[in-house]
Amino acid sequence: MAEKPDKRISINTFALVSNRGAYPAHPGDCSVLRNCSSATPGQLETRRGFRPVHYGGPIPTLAPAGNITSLCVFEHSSDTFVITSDDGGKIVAYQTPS
Amino acid sequence: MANTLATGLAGTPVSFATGGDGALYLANGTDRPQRWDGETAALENAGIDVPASAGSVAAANSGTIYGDYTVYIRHLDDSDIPGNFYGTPATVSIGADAPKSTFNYSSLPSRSGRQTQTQVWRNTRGQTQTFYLDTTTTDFTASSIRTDGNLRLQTAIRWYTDDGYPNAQRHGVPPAFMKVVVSFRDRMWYLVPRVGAGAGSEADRNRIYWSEAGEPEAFAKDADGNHVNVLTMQTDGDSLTGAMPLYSYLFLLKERHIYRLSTAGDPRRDAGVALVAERGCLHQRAWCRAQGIAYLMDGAGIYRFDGNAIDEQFAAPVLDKFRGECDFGQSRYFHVQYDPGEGRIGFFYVRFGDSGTGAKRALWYDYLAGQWYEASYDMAMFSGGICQIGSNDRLVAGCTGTTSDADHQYSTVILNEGMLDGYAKTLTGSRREWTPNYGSDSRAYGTITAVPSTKSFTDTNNALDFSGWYSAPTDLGAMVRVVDSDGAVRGQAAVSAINTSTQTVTLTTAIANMAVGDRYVVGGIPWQARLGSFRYLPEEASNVRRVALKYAPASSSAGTLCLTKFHDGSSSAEAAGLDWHDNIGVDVNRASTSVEFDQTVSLGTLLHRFDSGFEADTPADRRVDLKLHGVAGEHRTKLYEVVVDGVY
Repeated sequence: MAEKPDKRISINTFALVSNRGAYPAHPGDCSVLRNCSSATPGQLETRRGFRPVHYGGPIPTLAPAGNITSLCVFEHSSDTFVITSDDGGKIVAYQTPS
Repeated sequence: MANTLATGLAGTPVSFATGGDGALYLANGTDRPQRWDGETAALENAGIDVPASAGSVAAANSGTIYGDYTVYIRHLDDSDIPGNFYGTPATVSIGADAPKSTFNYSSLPSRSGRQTQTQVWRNTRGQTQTFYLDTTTTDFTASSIRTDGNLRLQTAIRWYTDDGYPNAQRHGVPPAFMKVVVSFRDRMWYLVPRVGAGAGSEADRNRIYWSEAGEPEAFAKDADGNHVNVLTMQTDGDSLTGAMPLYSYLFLLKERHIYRLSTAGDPRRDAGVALVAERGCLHQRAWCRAQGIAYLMDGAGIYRFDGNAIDEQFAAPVLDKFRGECDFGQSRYFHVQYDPGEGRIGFFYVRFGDSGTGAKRALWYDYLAGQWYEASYDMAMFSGGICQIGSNDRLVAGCTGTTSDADHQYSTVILNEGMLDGYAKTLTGSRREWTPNYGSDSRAYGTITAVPSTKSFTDTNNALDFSGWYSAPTDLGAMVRVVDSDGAVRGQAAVSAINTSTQTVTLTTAIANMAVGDRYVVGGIPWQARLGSFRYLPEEASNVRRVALKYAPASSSAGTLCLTKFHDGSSSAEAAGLDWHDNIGVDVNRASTSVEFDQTVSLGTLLHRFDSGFEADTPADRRVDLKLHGVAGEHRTKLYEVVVDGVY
């Protein structure tokens, strides 16, 4: 006997969107697809967006010479600094906008 | 604004900790620990050095003072943080038959670095256990007419504590050979030695040094020059790799063990150390805390720890993958990051065969949904931290530098920033949900109108003028993704140059088969999701096979959304199938493995049928695996539901 034609699998991504309030979902962010990965965990792949931290100055003056092997965020008074250390032994402090 | 705080330090990873005095302390195991108070133009040595000499003292003028006097001097910085006294005192004996009224101090040693002032401390007649501050000077000579009675009214310091530990001489400098510094219970703790000549000993692999309470730069030594605030842990064949403050404890991390250190306030008297877990940690960058839970990586994989017990089960979906493909020979580049804005933990690692130096991959754990996904990056990420930017807590990562990877000049980046990679129109506006405010003349995407070479393309419909941008794609080497007419990614390469006259983008590397009609997204982020394996219902004629995607209709700049099928567990994608056009948005190229869904169709639902044409007498496929994939565009693709028909 033939199966009913309306038998289907529905992967409802909307529930996850609701769980996260009004957070809009999109593939680039992949938030909407995270529940899809429950079927085969670890199978969701993406690159996540990023952009450089570059506060208040031209890029070349901020670019350290080497790989940023260590980083920390340091708050002092009302200022916040991103402190980086590269593999050339250079320590740089970026002051973030207040 | 950026300031270079130091150059020429060892290139090894640095450990950071903020002391109870509000200053930042740095240790790398090679250089003397450094300190920055947020005010000075450069880092300073942690700890104040001992004066180079004792200075001189002489008595003068007739008076009432007589006896044997001992004078010690020490230097201080401009915040009155002292160093140790010079070990040998200056002395003067004043006979009872010729009492004096004045002490003249001279030849006070020069000051350097943080040393801005010098203190002179003197005893009173008949005792040498308690000294009193006689004078503080920025000069190299001083005099005093204080009698013993007056001196006793000044600040006093005992040479030893009641239980015999150094007190006046507790301001020794921190150990330079320790790679890790942490702040805990108002003290700084140093551990994980660089072992070798001029550095730590083998025994130091099992030792922790700590500062005086409330004095993060003060490390006391006894008369033999040995640190007194030191704990040697039990020998277990394991070495310390880091330390993690969590709740009211300091957890001492070894390669394969975790010990819990507790103290009521004076670890010399009451430090208690207990083994609490038979798992460890790779190094100080391989753990993070998130909402009271620690997430760690050790040689056995990923686990979490709540201070009492470990949990490996949450990582069960990825442990095989992690252990199987992780290049533990590169584990010094692994790190764990907490991304509070996204509610996730990132485990960064190097996979066997990855090019370059550093971790370009991450397994992300969404602790709200309890799910995993993986990400890869064009450039390596070595480190990270949480920074408040635009009122949001954002994860900032340290990346590949300018000299080691000419294609990518990223250095420090904000993760999950906006929709596109590697450049910015402006610094204003929402940062996490950032969408660039494009002008009418330039866009991040378009259709290729000419291909001068395999390393360049032209779009005569896009001015490509990024000159007014805060950072242009050429500044940073933003990645360009090129997709063919079916939505399949042709390739990706970093932007090398943009010629606005010819409206041509030059890439750093070639993209094969790039053709007129292909689309491109500058900074577009490729993604894919495998939706699992579904068994076909056996009677195809009455069980239509199709996939429906329900989405929010978007503009043409929402990127691509594609479907690819795999049959019967094969890793080779199936061709799309019947060559047909349903006029509701899905164009199917029978030969292509990628079926693109046009999100600009206003219906909000698109279907793709993949019936095999009722081929009843041919061997049938049993199972189908589905993969959604695409390249993110300027605006978000909102996908609400995936419906698969004709399957169990």
